[in-house]
Amino acid sequence: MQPESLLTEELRSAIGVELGPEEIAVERRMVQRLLKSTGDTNPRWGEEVPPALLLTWMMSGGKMSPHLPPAINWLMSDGELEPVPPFTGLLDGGGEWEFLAPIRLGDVITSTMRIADMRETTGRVGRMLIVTWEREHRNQRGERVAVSQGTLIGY
Amino acid sequence: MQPFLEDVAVGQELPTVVKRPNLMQMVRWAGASENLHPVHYDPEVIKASGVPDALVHGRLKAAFVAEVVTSWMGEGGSLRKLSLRFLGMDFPRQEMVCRGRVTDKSESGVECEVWLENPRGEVTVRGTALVSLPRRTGP
Repeated sequence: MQPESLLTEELRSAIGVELGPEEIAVERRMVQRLLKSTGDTNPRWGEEVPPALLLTWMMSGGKMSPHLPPAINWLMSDGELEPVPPFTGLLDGGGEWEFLAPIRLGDVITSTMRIADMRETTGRVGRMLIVTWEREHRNQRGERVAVSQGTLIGY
Repeated sequence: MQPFLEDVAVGQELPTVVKRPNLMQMVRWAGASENLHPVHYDPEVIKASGVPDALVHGRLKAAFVAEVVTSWMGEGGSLRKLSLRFLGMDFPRQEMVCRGRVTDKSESGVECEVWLENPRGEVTVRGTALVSLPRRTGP
């Protein structure tokens, strides 16, 4: 019997859906915690925050949206939610981060995310759902400070 | 020392960044990034996942690789784009050597290939970085 597709109609309906906006106040303690966790001692990072800050902003930060299919909430939960069957695991495939303007202490960054695409394929871990996401970050003046995109792999 | 665009040559290697994250550092990253996936720290979940040890976060490794570029580019440089693929697993207390090499140079910036090697000789993160550097002669 042909196994049921991972990419159900319900999941497909989430393509193009925008998540957020999420508002993030960039404060000193946040940046200090980040630098300690990476071991980056570059004295440049003070008022100007390291590009790695954007790498820490993953998906929804565990926030659930009741309007989205449970499997999407799981995929976007940074591992805080239990896998939704038939999925059993999640991988971060990587991404691209474009830094358009410096982010400084005191900035308030508004971030929106969009599920750009989903496709099913077969790989090392068997059947996989490749989710492509896009994210845009603007500061309190409405300036675009960064855009990012990447893939999540659900299996 | 501040690198200038005129002085950079294609093929030039960037100074390496060596990291050896332990579980405490990974938990610090989990907190800083709010990535609380238990496969990065919970022994039961790690065992059930069939992996030999806690997995180092892909994004933490990405930050290590980004540091190769940001620590080289100096006060006058800026990282404009970073593209990375996560290709394999890494575990705590192992040495990760992060490297970079200049692959192209133009008026618009310097392109580098960047990667992370683990003690098993595997490249587990690979990608590119685009950097702006100041000109020795001014803009």
